[in-house]
Amino acid sequence: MNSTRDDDTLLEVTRFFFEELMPLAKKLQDEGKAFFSVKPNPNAQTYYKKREKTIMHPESFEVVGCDSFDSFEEALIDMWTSQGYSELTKLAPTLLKLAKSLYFVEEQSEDISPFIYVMF
Amino acid sequence: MSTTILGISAFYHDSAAAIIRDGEIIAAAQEERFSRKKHDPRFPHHAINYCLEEAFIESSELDAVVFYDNPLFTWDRVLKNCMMAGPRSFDQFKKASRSVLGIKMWVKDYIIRSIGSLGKLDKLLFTEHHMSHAASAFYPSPFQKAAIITLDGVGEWATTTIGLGTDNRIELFQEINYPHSLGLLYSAFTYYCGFKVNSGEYKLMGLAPYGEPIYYDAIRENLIDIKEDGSYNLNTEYFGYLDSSVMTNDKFNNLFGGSPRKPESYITRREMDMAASIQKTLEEVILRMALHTKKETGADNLVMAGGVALNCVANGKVLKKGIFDDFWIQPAASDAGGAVGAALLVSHAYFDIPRKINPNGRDTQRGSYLGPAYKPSEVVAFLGRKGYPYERIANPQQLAEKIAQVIADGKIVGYFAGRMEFGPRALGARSILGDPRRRETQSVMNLKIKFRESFRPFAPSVLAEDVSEFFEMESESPYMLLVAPVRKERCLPMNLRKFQEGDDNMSAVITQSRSDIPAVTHVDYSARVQTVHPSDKPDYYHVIKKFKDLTGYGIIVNTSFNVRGEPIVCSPQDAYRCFMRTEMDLLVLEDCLLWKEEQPAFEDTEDWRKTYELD
Repeated sequence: MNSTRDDDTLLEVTRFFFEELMPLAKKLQDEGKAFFSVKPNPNAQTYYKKREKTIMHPESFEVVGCDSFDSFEEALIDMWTSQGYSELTKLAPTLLKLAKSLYFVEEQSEDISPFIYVMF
Repeated sequence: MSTTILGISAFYHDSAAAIIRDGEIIAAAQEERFSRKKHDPRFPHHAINYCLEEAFIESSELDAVVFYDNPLFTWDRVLKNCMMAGPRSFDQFKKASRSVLGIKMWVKDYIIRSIGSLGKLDKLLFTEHHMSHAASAFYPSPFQKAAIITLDGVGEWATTTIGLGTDNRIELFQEINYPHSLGLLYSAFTYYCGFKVNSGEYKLMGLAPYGEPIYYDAIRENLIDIKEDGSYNLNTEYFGYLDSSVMTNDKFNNLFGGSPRKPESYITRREMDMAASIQKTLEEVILRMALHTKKETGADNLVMAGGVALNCVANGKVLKKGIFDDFWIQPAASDAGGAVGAALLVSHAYFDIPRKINPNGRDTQRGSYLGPAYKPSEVVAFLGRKGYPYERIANPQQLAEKIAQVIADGKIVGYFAGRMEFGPRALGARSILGDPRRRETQSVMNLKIKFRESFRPFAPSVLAEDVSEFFEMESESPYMLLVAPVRKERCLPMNLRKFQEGDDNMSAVITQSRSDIPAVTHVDYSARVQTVHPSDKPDYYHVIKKFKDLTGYGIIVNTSFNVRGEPIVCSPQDAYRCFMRTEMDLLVLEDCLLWKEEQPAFEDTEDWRKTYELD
């Protein structure tokens, strides 16, 4: 990995985050849409959610989108459309570009691997 | 024709590989044991190669390769989390983009680069993170039918699931999703008390009995709402993990009166009380959840997995409550076990291989001795090549007797025998052993052998048939996943006056004899028990049996064969190095005995205290 490519990738990530992701997030927030609750609801009877898919059928072991760049963009669009978040689908083309730029960027020499953070 | 599946977990923490053949676990290992980097999250090249060797199979002959979760859904969570958290989450987005979008998404390519093939299917299969945990808990269990609870930090979205396993079928019907996570809540307190996230949770649990749960009300009123059925939601305003790389934020700090404890600084009453408070909260959730799960499933038995299932104090409470008739926990409950679970799930749910239940009523985890072994001839060749002096005792009974005598004499023994354990606990294959009757054993082992915090307790290995002689416990605990009280008649009164009056110095408590097995009796008179059954590990069983013949006690101290921050030793070389760096007296490498005073001066080429980052 050379530093020029690193810099270019960081610029792409930064531009996507501030110019595409955050404006869309703001728009959804203004429309009162939230992806998840951030606080307890004292009036709720339970916090358990019923799962839509309760068992793994043979076809559910095959995940489209993780096998090649060709299917990645479409897999994101399908996923968000099926979830009812069609607003997110317009992010898919840029995410494909980012994925191509970031592909195998990780270098395992870091003292603390980003993998250890709970988010990932 | 047999069906062989390779399962892989990686790119979170503690990566691992496992091989399953016709539904039976052939081999499983964590990458850290080979790479010597604790909780190594990187692609498990070495563990995969070991599993293939153990199964005598080429990658092209595999029927399928499966990854333990779904990176697409993980990315969905990362993206939506950042959208909810706003611009402050940029740093997190940068890191997540690299690790998920740049690597984890393309794990298939890593596999092809590493082993050259995806097997006969020629495509990579994926499971869902909590389905992998559930499968790792249910399929190896001794139950035909069992309720399932999985609890961890976070999978793709789920942090908690509830379901039912019956024969080949696993059904998960309820869940709680990110950001509401019991695992992340416990990790937040781990971080705040100055311990490492995803590693120090165990220390927090060990610290809890020193404290009082004085922050319990603050936790319940501000951080978590727990419903009657054990479901819960967090108030994320108090946590840092949504928009930063640390677990807590200023609001959390203000609630508990200041900044997080600096790692390695003095442990104060505040940390002890914090530990006690979050432990009480966690136990309350798990007990309520177990009751709810019993009601929902009607099952007589319960299985559990996910990192939170390693909280053996909470597990002991569930057992004691008698909600279920029996209880089984996957010993590699955290993400490493996902490799086993994913491969078992593919065996049973994709290839429809019938599940085999052990006819003798025991589980099919094989004692969790699923890692590499070294033949005595290999050990002898190693010692000969290096010129290390040793004594060989080929007769197993004489060997066990000799080791037992050394332990009874108060010496500390490094014990390396048979296949390495899979999971975080040493169970007598890569263990350091000592005499539990001696008060000084705990401090010697902590400070001169393990170089770790003095408050941390040690666990006993007890003959399965003698467990109720020492502990208020009737059931087996072969994987050291249950905590039980030491029998009252064995306990001795402690003088806690100074400590209770506010002196934070824990050593005043630690150094007191608490029972006639002080080295394994924690300050609350509990112990983290491993029961040893002759069919699981005969060599180890015989060492304890011989110790009983000599002393009348069928119990010894067992701690993992490593120093602080080091992964448990894997090879004879690792074991010898660790032996020479510490004050162990005797090293047992299969049937070879090495005395410390007979060894040549050890030329250590590295500063291991720097090599092994403190955990």
